[in-house]
Amino acid sequence: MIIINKLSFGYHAKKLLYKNLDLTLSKGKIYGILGKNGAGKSTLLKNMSGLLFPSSGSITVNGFIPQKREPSFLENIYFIPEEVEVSPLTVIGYLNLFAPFYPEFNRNLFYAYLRDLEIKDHGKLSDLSLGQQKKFIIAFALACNTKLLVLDEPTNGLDIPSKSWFRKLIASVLSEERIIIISTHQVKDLETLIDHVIVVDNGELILNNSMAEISKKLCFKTIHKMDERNPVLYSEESLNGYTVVTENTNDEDTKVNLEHLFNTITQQPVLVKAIFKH
Amino acid sequence: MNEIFNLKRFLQLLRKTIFEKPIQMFGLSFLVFALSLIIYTCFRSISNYQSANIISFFIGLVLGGFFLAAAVMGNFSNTANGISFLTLPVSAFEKWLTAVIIICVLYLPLYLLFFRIMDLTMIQIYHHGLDPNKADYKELYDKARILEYTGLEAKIFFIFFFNVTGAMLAGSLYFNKISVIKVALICVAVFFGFYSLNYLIAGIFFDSLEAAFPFSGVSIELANQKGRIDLPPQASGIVLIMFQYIFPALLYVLAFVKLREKEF
Repeated sequence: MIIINKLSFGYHAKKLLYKNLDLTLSKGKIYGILGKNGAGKSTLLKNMSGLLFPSSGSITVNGFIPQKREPSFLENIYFIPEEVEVSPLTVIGYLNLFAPFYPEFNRNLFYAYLRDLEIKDHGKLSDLSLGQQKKFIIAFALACNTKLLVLDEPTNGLDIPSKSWFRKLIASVLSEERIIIISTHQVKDLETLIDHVIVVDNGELILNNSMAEISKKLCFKTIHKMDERNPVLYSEESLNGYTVVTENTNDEDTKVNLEHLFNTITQQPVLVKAIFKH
Repeated sequence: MNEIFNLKRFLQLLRKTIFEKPIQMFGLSFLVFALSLIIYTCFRSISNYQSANIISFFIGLVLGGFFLAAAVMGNFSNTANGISFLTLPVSAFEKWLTAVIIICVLYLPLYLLFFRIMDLTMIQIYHHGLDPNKADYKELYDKARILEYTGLEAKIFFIFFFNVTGAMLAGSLYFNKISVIKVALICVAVFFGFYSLNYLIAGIFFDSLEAAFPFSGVSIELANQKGRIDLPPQASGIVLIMFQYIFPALLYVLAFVKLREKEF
């Protein structure tokens, strides 16, 4: 469990990005942190991983204080940054040097992931394309079996089949003991994967709800004509008419469209907050 | 689990650090050794053995140590490496100790061994090439001597080595981008800053100042006669202790403290 209590953080002492942020993340869930570029998604992830230290407040991750960067904390967390770079080693060489640091590392799973992601096991890893390097790091991170898996913009640089494999792999590795946090602005890529959405903007937590709760409160549908009697929170013209987001007042069961949800939240933050409050 | 030091974990880290970037680690050492040999050979030809072994020793030891320290701790020039380094499941102490071991326990003795072999071989070749029947044989023979590691020059270079490597270790953590250039500039600025300040102050006290060496002494020239005034032994001893032990220790400790508090 991750408990963030009154977290304040800023890159400059006078300008705080996060102020008194409270957030709790439970085990057994895939969290999606959404936000615009520069909204503070990576900053939040780095605070959780012990790469940045809170100005005030506290963070505990499975009982550990990330800031201390103790080995027993670090062997249970894997952080995949947006841009990866692997050493000029072979797959075996990389395994021999890095895997011993992770006690739960599973070699068989690792090779299975490599196969799934179609990563060639010959030559130096640094000679692979950036997308292949990223897939290699994802395979390694998943095989480490850490209790916390943090992925910052994981689908950037992946081709379409790899994105699909990525979703399948992430869904397959989720367990009751694990927390997976994915930060992204490419919401379409992860729509079917995420089961809890956190939206941050300018260091403020705008939404922190499960997909089920979102579906219960908001309605995502396509209409042919705009009707002024039914106010919409967000609308977008499409080939079939208008795709709209409205408040779900009639208990309709619609599929959450993360992109539209995100646009709704960023355009109508006050209204959305009010809807989710009651 | 011991969160500060675990021998197995430390040895894994040492192995990983050395073999992760073999070209950088071994290539750099090989380059320094080769450079020492080239400089030694060049200066032997154009100058004398004393200059050859002093200059090549300085270059190999100090510059080699400086760049090796940058290679071991300089992980922050790109995001991926920086994050990978900081989130690797080992303690800050083990990361710091690995850098110290590589620089001071692995590189230093290896370089000293290489230099001694090179120095001895070169001098042996020179001595064998001399004609013992010539009148100036003894004089020519004595011109080439090995660089004693306990001598004054070597002692000064060791002081440079520990200060410069300490500065580079700390500097790599303070400067993420082009840390080598930034630290090198700071080292040069500090050295010449001290030198210029010392020269200016000495100039106030001595009219016929010829040279002034910071924390050592001044050379003066009066009526075509040169003389040197050194610091009193007690003051000189304090200065030596500062540069030999206090400053390097502070720089190495600073690197450890900064590594613990490093945000990236």
